[in-house]
Amino acid sequence: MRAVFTLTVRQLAGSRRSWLVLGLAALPILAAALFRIAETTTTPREYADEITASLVASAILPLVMLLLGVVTFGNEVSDRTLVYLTTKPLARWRIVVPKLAATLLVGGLPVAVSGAVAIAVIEQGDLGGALATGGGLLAGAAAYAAIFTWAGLALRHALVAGLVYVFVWEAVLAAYLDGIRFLSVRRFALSVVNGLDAERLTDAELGAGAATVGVLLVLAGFTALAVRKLARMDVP
Amino acid sequence: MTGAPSPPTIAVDGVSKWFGGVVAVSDVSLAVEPGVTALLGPNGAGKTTLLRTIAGLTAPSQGQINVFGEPIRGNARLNRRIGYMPEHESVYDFLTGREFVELSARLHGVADPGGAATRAMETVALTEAENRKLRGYSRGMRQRTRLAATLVHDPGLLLLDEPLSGTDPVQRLHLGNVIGRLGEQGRTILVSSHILEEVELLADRIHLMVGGKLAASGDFRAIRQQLNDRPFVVRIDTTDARALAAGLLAAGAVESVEIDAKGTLRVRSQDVSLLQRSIPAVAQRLGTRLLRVEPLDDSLESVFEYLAQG
Repeated sequence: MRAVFTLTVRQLAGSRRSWLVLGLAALPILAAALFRIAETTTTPREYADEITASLVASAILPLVMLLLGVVTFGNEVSDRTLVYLTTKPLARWRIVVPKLAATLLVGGLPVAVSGAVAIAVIEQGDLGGALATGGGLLAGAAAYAAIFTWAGLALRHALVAGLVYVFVWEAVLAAYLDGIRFLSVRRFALSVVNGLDAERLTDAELGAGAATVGVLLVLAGFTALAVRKLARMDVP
Repeated sequence: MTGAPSPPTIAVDGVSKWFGGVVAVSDVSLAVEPGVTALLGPNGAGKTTLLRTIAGLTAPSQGQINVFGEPIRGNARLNRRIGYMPEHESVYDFLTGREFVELSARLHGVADPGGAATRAMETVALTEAENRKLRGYSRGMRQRTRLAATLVHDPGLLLLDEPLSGTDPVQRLHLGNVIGRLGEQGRTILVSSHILEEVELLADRIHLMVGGKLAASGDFRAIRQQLNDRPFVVRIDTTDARALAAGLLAAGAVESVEIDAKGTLRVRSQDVSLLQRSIPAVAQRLGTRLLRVEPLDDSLESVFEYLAQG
């Protein structure tokens, strides 16, 4: 599995998208630095929560994971190099799992670290809050990685479908419709942050346990779907 | 006491593959034994689809394929004994040639991937350029690297789709020798090609595919003999088609003639060299002018069609 992991890290980190990922991941730290410089009546806690909920969890994290997740398999499908993995004596889960891990490392980790650093800067060294934020974002990143990696393998227009998911389902439908408000990776991530540090994001509506189960279900479900798809597809 | 005969390395039984309404492979049954066997046919004959089906990359719409006596589709463990080289040239071009081959060794679970990669690169004579990125390789170098990655784990079965494509004559001869040697060592090698001369270099046995169907199977030399014996059709535009047709028939250079409404003459001959000599000689003797002489069925497709009919 290490060979597939290393290969995927090199694929993702060496692509032009990685520069965009780094640019997006740097935004929370930039916003935090501006808060320290500018004069404002907003408290550090309010500003930190706003950065985490509205900027990172709602926009940067899903976008970064979308950009990378859809090409984790998508590029190998379109340039036909996937055959070099599928003709090896590897169970399909041993291809999917390291690819997911690589996507998490290249996309999720920079965003989680950036989100944590931003909180530490805004709150002037609140390590607990920073770690809680990083942990929640990493959990969300894992769920997004599974969803978008499956999409890159299974859908012809995965990027468009992913944008619709992020900006229609996550941002509008799951945010405002009662029936589906708990079917949201964003909500899971924010609830995990709140679970790890009860003083943050106090309006999180899910308990940390339920949110963790939600993340694990999404992760396991979409990983299983990707494995199934890889086993049944006609490899180009 | 005699044991049960061992199954062929590859057993294809009534396999068809269609994509929507397009039939790519139609009811093909064949067996491939150790040694080098060629899958020959013009472009679009279904060779690549059949090879991909044998490699387990796509499921047959109908029929069954066994490799080493086991179904291949969904049987990842079996890939340890198979090396598959696809037709397309795509590679992970951010890797060096050596990294690409070593990656293949690692994914196959080879105990010493570094050593295996060194041996494979030596086999394809690419050690000098092995540390260059694949994106800087020529087409032939990529082809040799892909072959090295295909044989790095020392498989018992090699499926090679157009392996000599893009190589220069010297490389072609070298790779032909490499493939021949691997076959002599007892491996089963199925190699596809649309070039007759290439197949002559590589294989003794062939399976000929035309239009998705298996048209002929057997010894290459016998098929080649059929090819040499095939009749040629030549179109001739001349000032007096009737006179020239009669002259060529009288000279015994053609076996049949046909003149269409526009006066164009089509002649059919078994002896191409006699026909080549006779056309100008007869035309000169009869005083008719030759405006155009054009072989009509020299295309590769027509050659395959002829062999298929035979």
